[in-house]
Amino acid sequence: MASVTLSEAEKVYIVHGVQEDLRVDGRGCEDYRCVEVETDVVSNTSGSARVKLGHTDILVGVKAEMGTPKLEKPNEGYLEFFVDCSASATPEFEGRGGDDLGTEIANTLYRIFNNKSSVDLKTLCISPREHCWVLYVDVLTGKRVGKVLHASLQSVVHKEESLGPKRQKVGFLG
Amino acid sequence: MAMEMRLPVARKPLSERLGRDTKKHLVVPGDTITTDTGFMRGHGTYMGEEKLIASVAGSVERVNKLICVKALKTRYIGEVGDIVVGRITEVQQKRWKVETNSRLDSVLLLSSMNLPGGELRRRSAEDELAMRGFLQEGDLISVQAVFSDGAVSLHTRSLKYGKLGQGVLVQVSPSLVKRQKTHFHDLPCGASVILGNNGFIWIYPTPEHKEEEAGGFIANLEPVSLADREVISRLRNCIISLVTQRMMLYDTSILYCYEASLPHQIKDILKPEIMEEIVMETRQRLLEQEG
Repeated sequence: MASVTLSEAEKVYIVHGVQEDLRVDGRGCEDYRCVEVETDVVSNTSGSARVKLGHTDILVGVKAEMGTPKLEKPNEGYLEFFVDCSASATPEFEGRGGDDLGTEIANTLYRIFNNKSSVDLKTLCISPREHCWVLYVDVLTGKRVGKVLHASLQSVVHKEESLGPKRQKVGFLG
Repeated sequence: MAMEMRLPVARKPLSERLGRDTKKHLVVPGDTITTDTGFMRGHGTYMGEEKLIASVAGSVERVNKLICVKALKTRYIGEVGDIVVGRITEVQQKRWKVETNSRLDSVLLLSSMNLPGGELRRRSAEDELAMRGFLQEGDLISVQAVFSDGAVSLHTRSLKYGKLGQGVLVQVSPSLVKRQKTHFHDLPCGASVILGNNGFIWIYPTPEHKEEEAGGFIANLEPVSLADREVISRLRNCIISLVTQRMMLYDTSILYCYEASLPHQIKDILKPEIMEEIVMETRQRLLEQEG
């Protein structure tokens, strides 16, 4: 994530403030910043969302395609994640710089959504062992990348699946 | 952990939000300003095909026969005599490199810096070695711009300037800081503000007694009281609201904004509607004061 250099006095000020439950912008330690979510921003996807949290701006698109289920899980569909930390976010991501962060975030997303209680993969099955829905989730980061993981989680859960027998899933991860 | 959620609403276009009649002539690079050749070209314009064309995105300003385009968003362009707040990025042989939101890093020479022990000391070799002891990477300083040949040269000859202690830095666009006689303000609400011309604004608790300011080298790391902290956080949020509504920053506007924000909680000021409300009130008060 973006690194910030601060002087000793500033660090001391912030730490003392946090000890008294007052952040620099007046929030308490557990208060959230204003999050802005826009859905349906990309027209050629099944569902998309744009999340703005502070200086971080994330765009997520979800496309549903037919595929074959994985051998070890014949009754479930699956998700594929791709996170692109593009050079237009910050100069640090120029060239291959953003790839490491991108793969790290993608791996974390895989682990999170591997859980039955986040997304029920059984609903993505069409006919066992033959066909299933594969959801390709693409995350694009723009502007400064402070809380990418957090914001992309919110976006992904905000997508709409309106294909086939699946229900609409719109949720908000706080 | 409480959270507020709102239903989706359509975004309002900016002109509606500003509410005032924007009679400014806005241009983008390549726009024709005028085909009249009687005008003198100022900054941000060039002559092409017998027409005056803008080279930056901004508003056209006309003074008699001089037309120039004032850019809306630029990096800081140093003028002699400006007060800036900068952050040290590098410690080099006889100077420090300072980040001031300009096109090139600014330079602070060792000989232009106040050193503890008096102003008229000769800079010796030990001073060079001890440079890192005075100012390290990440330190904030307030300095005056001496001359700029692209890169701004800084100095801290008076004891007013120097290393900054505890406080909060807010970074805004340099075009929003109004040029005034003094940039160091002690606001009556209990905090002090340094409005750097480069858009770096430093908010800090007012020092109790005007002790002999040694240029700030003896860092005061005692905890700041909660009341002072709240004032500083509130001022920070007010400055950010003024900036999002593109209002000029000077001591009066900041003070009025602070007073307008008192009925709200500090963290509520960050909400968009409350920001608009406060800035609207500030704008009205400023208009009344002028009119």
